[in-house]
Amino acid sequence: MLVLTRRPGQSILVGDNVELVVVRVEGDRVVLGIEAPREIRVVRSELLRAVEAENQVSAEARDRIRGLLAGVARPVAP
Amino acid sequence: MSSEITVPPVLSLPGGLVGLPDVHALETIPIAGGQFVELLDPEDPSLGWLAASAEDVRPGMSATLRATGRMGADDVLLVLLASHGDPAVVTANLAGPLVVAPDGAAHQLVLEDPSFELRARLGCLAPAPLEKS
Repeated sequence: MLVLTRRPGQSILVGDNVELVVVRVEGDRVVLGIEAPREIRVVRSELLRAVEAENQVSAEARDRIRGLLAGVARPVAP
Repeated sequence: MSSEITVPPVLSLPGGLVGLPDVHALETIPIAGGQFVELLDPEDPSLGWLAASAEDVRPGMSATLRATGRMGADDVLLVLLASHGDPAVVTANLAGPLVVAPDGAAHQLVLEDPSFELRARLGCLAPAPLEKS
């Protein structure tokens, strides 16, 4: 892993069109600003992993959900 | 609200789903009169999901994403359903919705917005609007 030291206001370029700026440091937290093209996904890694896990849960629970949906669906006209 | 979900019979997902990059297509099967849709992997029918219209779960969500350029004017936004808790309740994944274009091209977003939660509880859906005779 490449490790770089930056101060607030300094930045790092990733490729040709992604820039990470250290906005400020607050105790043990670093606030980053990110400039990237819209098509590049920029998310916290834990959120990506949470969505990944939820996709798995959704797939495994499909049959159970189908049964539960009867309680939330509106009546279907005959 | 709570209108019938209208999506093509097959969705193509060039990038797969988050964590499931090999899911490149999903067949869509309307259930409960079209209020929900079942998404089945044609290569492995044991793999599938149930989805609802995002608008039925969080009205205005599509407009928010259109305003920020995350989906097109004619795209449909689906949310995958899960179940959690004891007793189990149905939840909708608003943090990772599926954007479906009219031609069936689809991709899963990951939204860095705390108002679009990972496990939004699915309440009773509003009655369908009466059709004029």
